[in-house]
Amino acid sequence: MINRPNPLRILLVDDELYMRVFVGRVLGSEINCSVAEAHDGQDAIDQCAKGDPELIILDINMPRVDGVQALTQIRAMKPDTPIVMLTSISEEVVVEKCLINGASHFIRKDVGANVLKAELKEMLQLFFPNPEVTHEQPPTA
Amino acid sequence: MSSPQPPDRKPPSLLDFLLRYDLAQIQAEAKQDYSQSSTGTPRLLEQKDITARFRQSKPRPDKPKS
Repeated sequence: MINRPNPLRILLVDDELYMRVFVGRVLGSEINCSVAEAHDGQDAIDQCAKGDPELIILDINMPRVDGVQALTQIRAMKPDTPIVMLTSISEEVVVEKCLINGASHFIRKDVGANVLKAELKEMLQLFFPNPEVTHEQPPTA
Repeated sequence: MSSPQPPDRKPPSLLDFLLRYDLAQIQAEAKQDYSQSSTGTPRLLEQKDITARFRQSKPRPDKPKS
């Protein structure tokens, strides 16, 4: 569990309710956070314009505005916010497109629940390392 | 009458029967022949390959706010 003085503001964007519930629960068990939800790319863009999420988790296949289009627009608004693509698409061209358009990370969600859980946990450690954990060597006598 | 002398030819060695391949060139050609654009089949990436690509470009860590 990553301890933070203030809850991490996460925007979770997915058109599938069950995915939002699952990912929201995993995130909540790993980090002190408040999760806002968006159900398509346009909704995500609107919420980013109004609010200030510290982490955005973005699906790709969504109605109205897809995740790659949303990524481009959100990245223009939020140049420093980590944006993590969470999708079942693993085509090289799509991965490269996301990388070019400023995605910070890319997680496949077409894997088992435990693998996905581990990937999400690793992603949180990557972007929001626990400030209490230090890797200093103990002093030698 | 003397028969004509056969031309002075070296007997073939084993090396003459070896086929030489330019492996790098073959690989380059194969890559071109079976690339996504030529076959129309999308190349799918494993998570570890995707992660490696994103790690190459620098992650954006959380900035500590003072």
